[in-house]
Amino acid sequence: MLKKYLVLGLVGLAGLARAEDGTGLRISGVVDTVAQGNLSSGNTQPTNMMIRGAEIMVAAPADHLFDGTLSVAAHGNEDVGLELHEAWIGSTKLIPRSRFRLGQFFLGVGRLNQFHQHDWPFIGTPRIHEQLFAFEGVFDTGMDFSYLLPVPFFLELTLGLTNGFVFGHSHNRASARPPKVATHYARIVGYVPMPFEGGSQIGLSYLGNRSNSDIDFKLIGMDLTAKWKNVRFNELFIQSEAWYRTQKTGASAPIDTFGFYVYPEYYLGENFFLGVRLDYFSNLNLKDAFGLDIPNHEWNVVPTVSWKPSEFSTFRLAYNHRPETLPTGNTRVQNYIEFQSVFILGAHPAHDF
Amino acid sequence: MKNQLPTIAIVAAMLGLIGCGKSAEKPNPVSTFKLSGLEYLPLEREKLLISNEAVAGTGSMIFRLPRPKDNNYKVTFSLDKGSSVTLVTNADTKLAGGANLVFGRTATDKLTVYVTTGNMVCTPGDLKCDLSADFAGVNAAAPITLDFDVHEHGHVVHFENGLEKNEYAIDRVAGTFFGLKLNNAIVTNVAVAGPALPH
Repeated sequence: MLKKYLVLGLVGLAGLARAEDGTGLRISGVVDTVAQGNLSSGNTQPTNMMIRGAEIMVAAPADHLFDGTLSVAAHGNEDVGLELHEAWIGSTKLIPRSRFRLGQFFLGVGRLNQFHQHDWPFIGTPRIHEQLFAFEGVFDTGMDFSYLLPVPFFLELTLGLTNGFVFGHSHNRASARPPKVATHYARIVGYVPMPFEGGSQIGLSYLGNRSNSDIDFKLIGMDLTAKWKNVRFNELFIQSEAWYRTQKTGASAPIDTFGFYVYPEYYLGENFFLGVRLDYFSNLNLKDAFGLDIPNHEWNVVPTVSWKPSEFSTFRLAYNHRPETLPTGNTRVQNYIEFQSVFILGAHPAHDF
Repeated sequence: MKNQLPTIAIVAAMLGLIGCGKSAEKPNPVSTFKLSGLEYLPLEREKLLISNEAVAGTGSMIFRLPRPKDNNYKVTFSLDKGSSVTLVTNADTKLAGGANLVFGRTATDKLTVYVTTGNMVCTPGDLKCDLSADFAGVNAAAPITLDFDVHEHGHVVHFENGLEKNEYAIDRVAGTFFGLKLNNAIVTNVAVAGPALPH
């Protein structure tokens, strides 16, 4: 594991030395360290500290028409060596009102799935995102195309088509069999002004896939991001997503799941922020072997304090209160704290909105 | 089979006490049984001998409550020569479409272990699904306890004495039920919990 990070570090340092060479080359290294401590018995979360992600990203114009991005990451909880996250070429100049990506990238649906975990506004993964996507996000190889619709306000449509051999975290990415229906998705996103000089982005997403083994699923989601900014920071920031998935295997009955999270965050001053994330997740039609309905609900309330001395370092402390109604009919409450430190070396690319 | 006759006889006697004549055609809560505290429904029970301590013979059983996507399973069983036990996880209510871990005993008392998904059939020697070489040291003539994580994203992890020993990649599976398929075997203990290797 250490060797892995050493290699990563050397690659990063070599790159950083040339990060300002006038070609538009931006190279950054990011380290995301997370610690967790259990406060109640029966927690399923391990008490530990780990490098959740160590990532090197290179982004630059390839020429006068195309841009490229390459990023690799290592994860402290995975013994799989370096993982290719993104490797794509794209352009915003070739086709008017359009942009596209060709290669491997995080699928362009929802909000969290389009961000690396170190760029999330909170520490842990919302339950609905973990269930439907992965602890971080779903990437795949293919193409997506975004078109700015010719209307008098911002409205962008994105269509994507990727291999779909696997979806989310996988251990057989190289040997997976071709899907019966490749991963395909669409997202439409618009900008809506908010009172008191705020702004919001609202997106609607659809994604579908049918695996070689006849696992057929469809996702429908809505995301909302709203910001009220001062000169440097968001005075108030709200991020929320709600997702519904219907999934069936062969002739079996479908399994429908629903969940959401909402995270408002307020600027306290002196580079401190206070936010509270509320998560909800449920299998809507969970049944026992007799076909009898089983109520099940999972909540998580996560007050989070963030300290961001600059855009290159962030420290967070969060408390998780996670009550669950289990399929056994029993209830369980998990309480744990999380700590995160993120630092960025070099020129980290800016994100949309 | 000879060395298992006393066990089966005891199981058969207990079976008489708990009433084995109930029909499994119409599943309802009355027709469930418990093994290791876990409630289950026999799916094919004509040749199953059932007690509170064991299930023996040939047939299949599904555990009543659905499970989350990733789980740890510990199963204790005894095999006769040529018999087998299949642990089916992440399956539907007919134990179809899931991950299948098939444990068998050879004529030379070696343990064979195959892992498949759905209706796949593993050809012995096919290293994509035949894991037997990793279990060459197991004496299949004695009772066996095996400890596995099965994760929905297609990951099977074998633990020995609580430590990860081997891991295997399979196709993704999506069901919520687990159960056992017995072929002339005895299962004496089943435990299920959250994954030992969550990720």
